[in-house]
Amino acid sequence: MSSRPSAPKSSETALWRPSRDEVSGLVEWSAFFAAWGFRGHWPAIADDPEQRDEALKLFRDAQDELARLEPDIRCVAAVLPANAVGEDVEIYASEARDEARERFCFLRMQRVRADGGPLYSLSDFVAPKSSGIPDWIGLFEVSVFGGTEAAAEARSRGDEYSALLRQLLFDRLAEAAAEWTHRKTMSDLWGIGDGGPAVGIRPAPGYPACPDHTEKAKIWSLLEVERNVGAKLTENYAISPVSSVCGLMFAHPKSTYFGIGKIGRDQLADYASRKGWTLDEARRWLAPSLDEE
Amino acid sequence: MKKSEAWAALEEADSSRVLVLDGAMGTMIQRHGLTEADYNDGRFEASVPLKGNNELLSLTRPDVILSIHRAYLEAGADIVETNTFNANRISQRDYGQEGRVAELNLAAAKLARQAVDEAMAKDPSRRRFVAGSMGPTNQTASMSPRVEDPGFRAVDFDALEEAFREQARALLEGGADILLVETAFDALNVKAALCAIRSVCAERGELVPIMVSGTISDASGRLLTGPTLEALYASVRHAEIYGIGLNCALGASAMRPHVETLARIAECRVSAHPNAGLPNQFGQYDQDAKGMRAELESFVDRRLVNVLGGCCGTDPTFIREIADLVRGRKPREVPKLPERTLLAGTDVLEISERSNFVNVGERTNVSGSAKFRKLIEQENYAEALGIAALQVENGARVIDVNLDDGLIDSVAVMRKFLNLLASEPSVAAVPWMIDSSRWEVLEAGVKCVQGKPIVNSISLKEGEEVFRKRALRLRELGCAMVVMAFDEKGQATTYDRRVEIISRQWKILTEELGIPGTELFFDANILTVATGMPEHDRYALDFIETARWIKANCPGAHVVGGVSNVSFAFRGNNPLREAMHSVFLYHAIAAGMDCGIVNAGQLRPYDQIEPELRERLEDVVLCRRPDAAERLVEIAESVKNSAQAESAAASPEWRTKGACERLATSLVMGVDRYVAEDMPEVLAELKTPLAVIEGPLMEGMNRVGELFGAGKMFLPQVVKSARVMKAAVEILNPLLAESAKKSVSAGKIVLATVKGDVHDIGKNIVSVVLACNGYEVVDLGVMTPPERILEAAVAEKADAVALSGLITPSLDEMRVVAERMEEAGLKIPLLVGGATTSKLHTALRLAPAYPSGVVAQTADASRMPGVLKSLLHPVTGEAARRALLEEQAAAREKRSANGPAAKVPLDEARRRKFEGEWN
Ligand code: B12
Repeated sequence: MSSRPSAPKSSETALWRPSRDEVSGLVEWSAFFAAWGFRGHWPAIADDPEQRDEALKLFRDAQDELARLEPDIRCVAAVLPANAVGEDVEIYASEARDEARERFCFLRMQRVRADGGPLYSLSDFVAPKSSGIPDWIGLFEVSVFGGTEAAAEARSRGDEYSALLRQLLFDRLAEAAAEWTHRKTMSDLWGIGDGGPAVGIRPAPGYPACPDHTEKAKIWSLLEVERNVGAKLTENYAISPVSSVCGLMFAHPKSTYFGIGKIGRDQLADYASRKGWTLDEARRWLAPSLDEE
Repeated sequence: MKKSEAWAALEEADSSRVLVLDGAMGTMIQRHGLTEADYNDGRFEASVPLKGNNELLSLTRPDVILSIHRAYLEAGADIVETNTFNANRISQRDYGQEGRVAELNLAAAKLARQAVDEAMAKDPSRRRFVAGSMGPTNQTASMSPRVEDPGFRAVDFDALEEAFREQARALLEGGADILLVETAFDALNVKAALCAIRSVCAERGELVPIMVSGTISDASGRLLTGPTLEALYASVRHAEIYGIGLNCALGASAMRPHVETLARIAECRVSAHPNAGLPNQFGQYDQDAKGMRAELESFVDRRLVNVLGGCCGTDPTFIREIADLVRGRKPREVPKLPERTLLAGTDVLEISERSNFVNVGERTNVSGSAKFRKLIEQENYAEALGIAALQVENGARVIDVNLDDGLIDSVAVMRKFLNLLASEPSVAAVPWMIDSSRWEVLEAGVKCVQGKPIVNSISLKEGEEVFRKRALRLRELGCAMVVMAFDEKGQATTYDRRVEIISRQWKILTEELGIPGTELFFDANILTVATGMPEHDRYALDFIETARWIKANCPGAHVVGGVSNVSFAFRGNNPLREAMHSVFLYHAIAAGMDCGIVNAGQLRPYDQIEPELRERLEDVVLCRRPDAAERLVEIAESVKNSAQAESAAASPEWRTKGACERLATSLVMGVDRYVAEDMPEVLAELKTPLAVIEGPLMEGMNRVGELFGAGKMFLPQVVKSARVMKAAVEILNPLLAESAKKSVSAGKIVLATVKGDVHDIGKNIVSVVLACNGYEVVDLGVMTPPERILEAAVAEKADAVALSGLITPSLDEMRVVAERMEEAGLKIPLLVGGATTSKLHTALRLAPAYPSGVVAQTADASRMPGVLKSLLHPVTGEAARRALLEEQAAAREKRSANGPAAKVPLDEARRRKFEGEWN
């Protein structure tokens, strides 16, 4: 099967501010229950005699609380011309593709795979520059404002339970807004699909396929996140407000989530030189991807 | 199989004396000061130096090996071991010599043979023997070499069996009399070796004597991969071994208690060849021959052994002493023990006439548990393992594992799941029942199992030929087996058919194939009663009668069945089903059923079942009246309702109790509605606000802490309880003196999310859980710079600091805090948690940064109070801290010993990239 990349309808940066009810249908409840220490997936949890009673009570409280929340949801996204060079993905200033504005750096799996499967890098899902085939990559950032304040209000009344409920619900809304943005980007900007579950993947820097948090800074500059959304990166690349997600979107039909796992010293050195880091800096930012020695 | 000539000679020799095995080979080779040229005279192609690959010397320096054998024979050895410890293709792969394995074994066996034949020619009065040495290889089939991937295996049963087969074949061809599977650290590796040896013996038409010798690696007397000696014995007993014993790792006196264990349980010979004491710091052995002899005296005095020799650090002077020590002394007498069934995980389970009913956990069965099936389909193995562990906790003594599902690749999933189960110590301890209707799944499953499993099941469904073949194969693989009452015509549903099939199976298995009755578990089919069809009425009774028949006619065999089938007609009515199971088991056990597949958590004691219900259940189970089923159905609904009412009614009742009890209950139930209402009464009763806090409130909170710690309470409940506590304390606070506030605290904890990290929730949960356990928490919030943490720790005179962090850079921030605490001269514990923190990282990076204190990591908040309590305990805290430091030091050592997992070099990884197929 061939997979000729399809050109986006628009390469403008889009801003959206969906309402609570537009995204709440996409909330993934399993993670909510996991945070409360329940085992298994929702709604299967409700079938488990051991957990059912407490889970249903919690679910009811969550629905009530959700109906009262007034989240301020802000999303930004764009689909930009891009091609892969090794494990890097260059982002071009225009379709002429003669000037790279930015360069995302990715890692590659190095584990011994008994099944003989590919050793992935996210860059594999973007057409290589050498092929001469034009390709694109999506970027997004979503933040849900108001959670910290809503939780603080409950906490000031000594109601830790409601405070936690609110914090977790805002986090769920952030995740749901990311899904919503993914679908919207694919249908409205990229012109792939009809707004239903999106084709392709949306890995987030810091997650196992791209464990380097510092790559977020590139999303910040390309999407002008601070100006467009008002979210900031801390010195360690956490996002404030806390209920935020940013990431990349790949449309290759065979793109898939994976984990880089542990990398070798050869790749550590290679990556450090691509990032302009010393080895020690590389060790700090990639700690979980290294063998502890 | 007929036994070899050497076997008879060995039996004759060992009847009157303790046989002497030789000593170390490596120690002796070292003394020759050999160089690379001795190891490789040019005949081997090698990319690594071959010096140290002692097995090669059998080809390149046969004179050296021969002289060592001669010296041992001279010293009085009755058995000499061939120079083949590592002569298998798995170990030789390290040197690139796996193609030479047959040659090496053949040559080594011939050298030992030559030495023995010479000695016999000189002095024909005593028979001397050649034992082919078969080391464990350098891989284990029961454990993962990768910490992060416990389901991984570097080698599997088939590869081991193949390697051992090649070795055994050459050793026997070269003239070995005995095969010695030694220095075993993994019972599964041993089972593969035994399978290999027996298949080579079958090729040759005679069974040679096999000795198995294990190596103990810890003080609890277990092999490296977990099995106790009893479990090891249970796993190898099927193979008609000549002897079992111990070697290496320990000196004689440390080995003695373990040899005593073997001497007590083994129905075959017992051997011991200890090291010359323990190695000193340079890895050398200081004990001399007289010293070792002194320690071995009690082995002989107490008649613990049939074969005695030496391992690392021993030489012919030791063997001379040992030969002298045993001269004229009586060997151990092989005991005749009563018939019994031995099953094993890493612990042994003995089933004899006297033992209790064995319940087999049924929840790890995809066709029986929807929840388990879903987890397996979603590849959520972590939780699936949790289900297995819970069954063991609930009292299951064996667990049944069934992964038959059209949608999953049962063979692969069975392997994967069993390999993961092996990493869960509580589950690995019990024997497993490998359950499948597909033969490939059964065979693949048992090849992953250390210990002695039960296979469920074989039957005559596909005729006698298949039945025989499978039974023999299972016997070879060392499994007990469930034999189902099923034949070519179908499943037995009546008493007569059951007896007809089972007697035919019994005859084939025991009389024809020689399988002991103790290895058989007959499943006489528990079928559903009270279905409304009169032909089903006798199903339970017929099973019970069949159980009686089996016990009377099949000595040693067991009766097993899947109990929940019997009540299937009452799906959805669990109270009734549980009662029915109890009644059924009560009668079936009395008739001889001794093993059942049940939900271990849910059995109601027979005598607690209400008499009317019990009578109607018995009418059904024992088929006592024609309208029994109708009469049970009549009351079925009310049984269900009253069980529900019972649990519902329990709650309002607490409001009638005393005020203090009501307050405590409010807290445990997380209900804040009654606090204000009850408080005045409580205060009036206890007089002071402090007494209220220390009394009902603390009591309630302790109960919450315990229930949560034990996994019996959910987090939302805990948080609600904390809310009640807060409400109560708020009422009391204005009345409370400053000094009193302090005295109720279990300790003060400074808590923060580290610099640059915004995650809050995990930290807040930790805060709630700590508060529930009586700690005072100073929460510094998120994005907290190290300076603020230090400041607060000092100013607040904190008893501990707790840090939360969820992203990678937070790991480094935690190290910075640890360093600052060290600089500030603090000694209080530092606790860390949150995703990305780990025990390993804590041991490697955090603990060394704060040597004056301790750094502990816990995976979730519920564990934290326990850890904190033990670290802060005024009496035992010191010991707990020391234990933690030792554990971390061991983790560091293990890490540097294991080294990193193998990686594909980057340029090769690039060649193996995903191809996007653009055009
Ligand atoms: C829910 C979630 C989110 C939510 C909410 C985040 C939030 N407010 O906490 C959302 C969707 C917003 C989110 C966003 C992101 N996330 Co996120 N997220 C998670 C997830 C799935 C669960 C976290 C959670 O809330 N758990 C429930 C709470 C109750 O658990 P907890 O915080 O772990 O605390 C428990 C224990 O850890 C422990 N504990 C915690 N602290 C302490 C302290 C002490 C002293 C002790 C003893 C115990 C203890 O006790 C608690 C209760 O038992 C984790 C995966 C995971 N397995 O943890 C990833 C995870 C934390 N996220 C991750 C990443 C990368 C991100 C993003 C950077 C992705 C992106 N590019 O956008 C963003 C960044 C957000 C930001 N503001 O900076 C990564 C971090 C990886 C890394 N090595 O750095 C994780 C680990 C996922 C992964 N496997 O890769 N995330």
